[in-house]
Amino acid sequence: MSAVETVIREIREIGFEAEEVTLPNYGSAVALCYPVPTGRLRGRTFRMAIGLQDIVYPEYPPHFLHVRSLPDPALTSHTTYEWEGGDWTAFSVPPSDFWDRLPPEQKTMRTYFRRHLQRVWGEL
Amino acid sequence: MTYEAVLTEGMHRRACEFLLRHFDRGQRQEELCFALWRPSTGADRVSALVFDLVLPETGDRDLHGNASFDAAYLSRAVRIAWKKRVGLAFLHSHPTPGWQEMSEPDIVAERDRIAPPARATGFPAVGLTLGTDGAWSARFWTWTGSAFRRNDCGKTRVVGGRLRMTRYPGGAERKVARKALRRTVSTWGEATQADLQSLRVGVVGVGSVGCLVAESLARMGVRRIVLFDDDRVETHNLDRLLHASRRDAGRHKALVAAGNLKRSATASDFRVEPHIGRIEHSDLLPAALDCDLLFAAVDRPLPKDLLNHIAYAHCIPVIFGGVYAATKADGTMGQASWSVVAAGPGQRCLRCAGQYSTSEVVMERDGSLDDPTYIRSAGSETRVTAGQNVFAFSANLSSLMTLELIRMVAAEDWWPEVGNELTFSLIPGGLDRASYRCGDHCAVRPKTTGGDAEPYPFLEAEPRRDSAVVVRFDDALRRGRNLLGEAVGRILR
Repeated sequence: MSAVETVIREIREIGFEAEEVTLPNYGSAVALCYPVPTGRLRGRTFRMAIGLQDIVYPEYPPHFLHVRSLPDPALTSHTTYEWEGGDWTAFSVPPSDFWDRLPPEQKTMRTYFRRHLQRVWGEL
Repeated sequence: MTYEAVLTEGMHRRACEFLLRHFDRGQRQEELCFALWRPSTGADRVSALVFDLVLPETGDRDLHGNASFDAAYLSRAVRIAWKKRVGLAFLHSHPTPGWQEMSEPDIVAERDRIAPPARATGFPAVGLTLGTDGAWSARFWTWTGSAFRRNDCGKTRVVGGRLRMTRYPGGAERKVARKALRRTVSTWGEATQADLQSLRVGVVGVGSVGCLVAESLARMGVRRIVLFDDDRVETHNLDRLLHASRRDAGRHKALVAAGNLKRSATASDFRVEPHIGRIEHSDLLPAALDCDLLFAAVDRPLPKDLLNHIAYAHCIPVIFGGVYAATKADGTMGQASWSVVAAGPGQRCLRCAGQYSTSEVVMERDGSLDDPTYIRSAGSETRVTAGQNVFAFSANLSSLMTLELIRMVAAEDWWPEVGNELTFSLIPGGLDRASYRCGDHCAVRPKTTGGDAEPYPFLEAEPRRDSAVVVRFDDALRRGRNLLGEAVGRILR
């Protein structure tokens, strides 16, 4: 199973619908609509994509997070670009502080969403 | 193609416990078992990585001073190897120390009884004989199309905290050079000197640390040094690059170092092999896999990750060295420290030692680490971007790295066990040494002895940048331009 297929399966297991997309200049990613659970944008839903370009998942974690129509992000962005008729912002936010120490069975999207994505959105 | 056999220290201990147990009890009784192996294939060398024993069950063998195996035991072992898609090895012990010659019954057993059914695995049979002092002799039985040919292994290596070798006595052994190495040999003896000289050592990264390491090796008498670097000498390197001068500006660092090493080397048949390129390029990896040990003097996460992979999957120890120096906001020195990590089977890997993370590898691959604007604006200063260094720092670090090699090769049983990780801190001042284990969930350690069956996922299929001919021409052209520029400059002045 490819990294994309694995990530889509894992994201569906935690209750989100996800699809494979190809981002301009960023390659393969998995996109979904995400209701923000925390931070200043709590309660709003954003279309976002988790970048999977060439990674060997789950040993190597996703790195880029792409968000559509994000108002005044508090984090420094990597780039902004147009895609699917909207403005997208890419952030380099790897889970570098804990991913390598996780047991193999916990290197999943469930852990990624719970431990990493929520804190990123809390800062966005 | 040359052949070698490799065992981790753990596998070696297990094999010795079983194969030498009768001798240990004072009985003159040989022992035998089958084992499994995976290949590690370089440019010129295939190594059999022996990773598991298939121990005999009751009735599987006869012990009568010599030892012989039952056909059912052989069949069982072949079946296990075939199912796991690995090679079959046959191990037995002899009642004498050192390299073991094969008796006629040994040859008949391996060539005529084991090698034919072992072909079903898709790999040649490998035979190993263990002497009472723990020395291994090994051979591959390859099929020529009409017969099985015996290919004696030039070396058998036991890899772990130490690097022990048994060398084939019929190989092209060179006499230890007497005069130039007199002091060196008198320090640790001819046997250790012969071991050191027989190594093929790779130096990945020939910057300030790497070229000092290579210089040490060449002067110590190491006969084969392989260099990997894609960078060129620049003026701002000259405060740290051994033997480099303004005339070398623009030349490839690996070529500059190779030329210097030829002048410094004490071995009479010294050979240096410079590779212009990055080790993560797929055409250079085989050259690295021909090495017995690799020095890693690189600061980027991707080559560190690859070298870490090689240390475990291919059982080639990697001695890593890194400098970290930082300045304060007022421009004065804030911190300077350097560390050495010896990675390989039984040791903590570079990833668990915190020398890089998988996230950094991903970021390097997508170019984020090379985007200075983004890095500055994000307010992050990674290990890669720090960059400050001083010749004296590199000199100390390279010495510590070389001493790790000496320890691995020269250490005897009475030497105390010491940690394989060192850190020197200029501020406050002091050297710490410790031994650690990989984390419980290390993703690298399970790849130990994976060999070719455990490919590294991020090799870049970039064609070799420069052939040797193009490099020589290009190099000469650049030297000519520099000389012409200097001449014009003098005229204009």
